[in-house]
Amino acid sequence: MSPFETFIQQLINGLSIGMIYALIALGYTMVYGIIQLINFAHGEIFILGAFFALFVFSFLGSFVPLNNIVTIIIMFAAAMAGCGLLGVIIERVAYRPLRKAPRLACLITAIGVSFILQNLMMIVWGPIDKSFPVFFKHVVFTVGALRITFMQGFIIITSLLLMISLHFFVRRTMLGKALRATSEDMVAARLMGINVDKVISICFLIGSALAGAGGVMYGMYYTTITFHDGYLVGIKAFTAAVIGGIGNVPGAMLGGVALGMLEGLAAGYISSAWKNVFAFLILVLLLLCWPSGILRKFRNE
Amino acid sequence: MILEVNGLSKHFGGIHALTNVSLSVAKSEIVGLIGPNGAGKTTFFNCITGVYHPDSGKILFGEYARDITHHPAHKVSGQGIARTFQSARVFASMSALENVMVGTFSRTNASVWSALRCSSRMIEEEHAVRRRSEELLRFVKLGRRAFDVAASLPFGLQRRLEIARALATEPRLLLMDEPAAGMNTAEKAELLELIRKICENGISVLIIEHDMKLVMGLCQRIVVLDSGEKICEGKPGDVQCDTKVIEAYLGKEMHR
Repeated sequence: MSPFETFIQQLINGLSIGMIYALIALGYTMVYGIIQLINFAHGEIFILGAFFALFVFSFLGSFVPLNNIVTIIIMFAAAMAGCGLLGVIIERVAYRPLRKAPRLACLITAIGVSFILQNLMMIVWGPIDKSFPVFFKHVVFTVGALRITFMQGFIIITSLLLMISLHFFVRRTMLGKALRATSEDMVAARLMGINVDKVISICFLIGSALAGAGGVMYGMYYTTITFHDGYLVGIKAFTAAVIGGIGNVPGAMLGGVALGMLEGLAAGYISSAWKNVFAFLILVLLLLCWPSGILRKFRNE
Repeated sequence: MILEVNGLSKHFGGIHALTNVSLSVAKSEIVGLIGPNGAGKTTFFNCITGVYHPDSGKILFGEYARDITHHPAHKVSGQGIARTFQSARVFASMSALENVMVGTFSRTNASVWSALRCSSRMIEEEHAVRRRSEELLRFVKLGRRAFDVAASLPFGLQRRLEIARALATEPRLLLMDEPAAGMNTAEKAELLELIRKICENGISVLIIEHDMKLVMGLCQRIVVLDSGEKICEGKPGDVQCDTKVIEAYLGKEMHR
């Protein structure tokens, strides 16, 4: 393998996990964009997606043998629906009553929700690693010396599809326009007849569903999951959102991919033990030097 | 009467922003709401539109005098009351056309489900909304700026964009908060004409304005607020001569 090929290989490895970060980062950034809350429970929602999928998988497996593709689709559907619903419920129960409270109160509540979910997961699924089903383990695409596993290709393509649909939703549909209007000026949006509470619910629904999809892919990629996985990945996705400029949807996608690639490079050239150090080093440096992110959210003050 | 407000009061802590204010607007009527700074005019608008909840009083709207006193803002808009803001509050990063389209939101059946299915009805509705919005942009003479980002429009045009957006909600009553502020004479003349046209389309207008010439020329009736209380109501000519009004604006004359 030439040095250049090694470099590209690391980028591809990084890209697949970066896509997952991007999917989760979208939830952080959408919620922040609309109610200026950093939803710390989002990482837990993400890993719950994996647990939901695992549950459905073992549940289905005990009844009927299904082919792999159908199983994958059902797992995604369960994770996205479950997480979406959970996101809406959390917003309704924990954040909506605090709509007029100071922002710090919401932040602390979000951290509290995160702990609750983490501990609930530990009680339900136990504190040990759970193995996640692997599909198409031996399918590997090779381009020259480059190797792309099925899972990597699957993650990249599925995430891209989800992001394109989100982009279409936000840009083209009426609800998407209402979402953007609400994130720009909540009072004006309300006076234009937009039910802001509903829009916020939809925002949580979509963000959480995307995180759920990310969770399934994370499980398939790393093949084991535990209840506290959501914490670290969640913080990294948050970093990705900050890199892209929190509140900025394309920024979150870009930030996720950038962070994943950087991690891939750090793991490839230095040591995979150091990749977390790099991720958080970037967060610290960014918050110090460039707190508004690479794509700054356009604001008219 | 399209709007009937009875004995509206609102206080913030110890400050009485509005005390027992009553006001009514008839169909296709243009009513002016004037008063010195801090008289409670914008608070009055905020109470009507559901941004604030009044402490007491009743707000009745529409032919059947429906009580909308404690309706949330988006429902008030759905009933048919639209407003523009003192400082144009357009959705800055969205295009002019999108701004107007947002205004039609409560008249559409947008849902996550229909968006997911990309149903043909949704696409049709979207087209209808687009056509209607373009029409409204032409109505306020912004047809050529449809795809400009709202923030890039000069202030005077943002004002007109706001009017188009408010009209997109299909109101029966339009509340305008100082629409002429910061406009030059030519722009004011255009605004005057625009408001008259809106009124001809059967929409009533309640307007807060400091420009007396504009108010006197436009409004059929004027209500004057001072320190949260209604001090005068009548035809433009009468209000101008009212001693209480003159006192409110110029201060009490010193008696030697």
